[in-house]
Amino acid sequence: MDKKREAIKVMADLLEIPRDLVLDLPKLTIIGRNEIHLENHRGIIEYSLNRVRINLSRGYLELEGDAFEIKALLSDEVYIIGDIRSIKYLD
Amino acid sequence: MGNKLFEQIGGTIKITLRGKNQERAINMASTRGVFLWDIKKRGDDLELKVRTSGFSALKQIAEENNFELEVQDRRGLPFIRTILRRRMAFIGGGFLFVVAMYLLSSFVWSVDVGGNKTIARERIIVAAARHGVYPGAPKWTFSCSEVEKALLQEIDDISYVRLDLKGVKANIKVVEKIVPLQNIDGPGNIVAKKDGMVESVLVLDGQAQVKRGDVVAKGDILISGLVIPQPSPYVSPEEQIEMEPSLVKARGEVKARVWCQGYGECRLKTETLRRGKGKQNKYYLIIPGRTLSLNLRDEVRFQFYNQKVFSHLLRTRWGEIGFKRVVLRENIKEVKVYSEEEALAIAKTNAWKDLKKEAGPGFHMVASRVKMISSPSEPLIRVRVIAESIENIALVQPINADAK
Repeated sequence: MDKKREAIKVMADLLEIPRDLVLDLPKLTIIGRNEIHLENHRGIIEYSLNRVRINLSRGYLELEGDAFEIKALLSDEVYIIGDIRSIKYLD
Repeated sequence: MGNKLFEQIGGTIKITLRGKNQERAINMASTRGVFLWDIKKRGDDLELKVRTSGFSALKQIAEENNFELEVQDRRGLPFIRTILRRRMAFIGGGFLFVVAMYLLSSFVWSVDVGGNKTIARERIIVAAARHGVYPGAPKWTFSCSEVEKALLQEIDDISYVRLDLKGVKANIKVVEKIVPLQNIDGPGNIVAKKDGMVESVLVLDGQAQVKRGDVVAKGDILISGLVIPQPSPYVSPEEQIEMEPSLVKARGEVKARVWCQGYGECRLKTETLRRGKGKQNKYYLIIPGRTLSLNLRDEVRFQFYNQKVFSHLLRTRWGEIGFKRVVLRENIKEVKVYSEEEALAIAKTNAWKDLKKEAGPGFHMVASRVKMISSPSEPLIRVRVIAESIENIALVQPINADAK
C-alpha cells in the first residue's frame, strides 16, 4: 500500500498535480485566529465549545480554544469559527 | 457555502438535537449529502440549521440512532405560503379591497366646472350630463373628446372646452367667447352718461344742445345727430334757401363737472367673529332614504362656527349613496370699542372705499369734501365723502330713424 502511495506521489510531483487532489490529503486554511477552513476531512470526532477533533485520512486534527461553532459542514469540507488557541496534528 | 437566496426560497429549519454522541449524527448526515450549518453547542444539546429538503433525511438518521429532534424555527418561502394558506380570509379581504377600489374608481363621483364667467355653471353641467358625464356615470361609457365636441356644439357662447378625468373627478374647463363691441355706423346722438354741470362743449359733427354752465342729467342729449339748418344771418329772409334737416352721427367731446359720493360708517362698539383654531369634522354615511352619523359625539363643540359640507355621492336608481363630511370651523366673538377719533378714521376709510367703487376707473378727482352726518346721540359715526371731477360724459347713442 505504501509502495502504491509512493508511486502516486512521484507521479504527482512529475506531473505537477497538487498533492491534496491526488493523495486525498487534508487542506487547511487558517484566517486570522478565528476561522478555519478544512477540506478532505473524514468526519467530526468530537465537538464542544472548547475543543474540536476532526478525523483526517491520517490521524486527526485537534483544535483548542473557546466558543467554537461549526459554521458549515459538508461531506468533505468543514468551516469552523471561534477563538483558536492551538492546532495539533495527532495520530 | 450556503446561499442565502436559495435558503429563503427552499426554506430552512432550525433544529435542536438531543442525545449522546451527537457528532455521529452530524457526520452521518453530511455523508448522506445533507448540508448542515450554524452548528452550536447549547449545554448538552446541539443546535443546527438544515434545508427543508434535507430535513427528512436528518429525521430518519435521528430516529434510527435514538436521537431526539426538536424543531425550533422555520423560515423561508414554503412556510410563508403555509401561513398565508391559514389566513385565506385576510388575503381575500385584501383582494376584495383592491377590486372594490378598482370598481369605485371606475365611476365619475363629481363634476367640476371652471373658467365660466357669464355662462351659468348649471347650464354646462346639464349639457355635460346630457352627453354622459354626470356623478355616477361609468368612465367607460363616454369619450372625453366626443363630449368636448358635443359641448362646443351645444353651447354657442364657448370657444374652447376641455374635459379632464382626474381620478373620480371630472373637470370641465371652458373659455368663453369674447363678442366684439358693436360699432354704431348709422346716425347717432351724443348723450350724457352721468349727471353733471357742463364745463366745455366741442362739436365735431352734429348740433350742440347744451352750453357751458348747463346742468344735465344722465341720458340727456348733449350733441344732437339731427341737424336742423339755421337761417344765415348774412342773407335776407327772402333769399334764404330752405334746407331739409339731415341725420348725422354726432361726434364731439362734452366735459362736465361731475360729483360722486361715498358713504362709510363705524360703530363705537363692534362685535365681530374671528376665525379660531378649533376644527371639528363630522362624517355621515348616506344610503337611500337615510343619513347615518358616523360620529362618536354628535354635539358641536363651538358656540359660533362656520360649516362647510363636502359630499361624495353616487346617484343610483335607488337613491343617493355616499359619504358626507361636514367641517365646522370655530369662530371667536370679539368685541372692539373705538374712540370717536378711531371710529371717524375707519368711517372715512370706508367712505373713500365706497366712493372709489362708485366712481369707477375714469374718475380724476379735482376737489373733495368730507361731511360727518351722524348725530351725537347715535352709537355710530357716519361719514359722507363728496368728490368732484371734470370728465368727458359723452356717450354715442344710435338714432333709430325708422321708428316714428
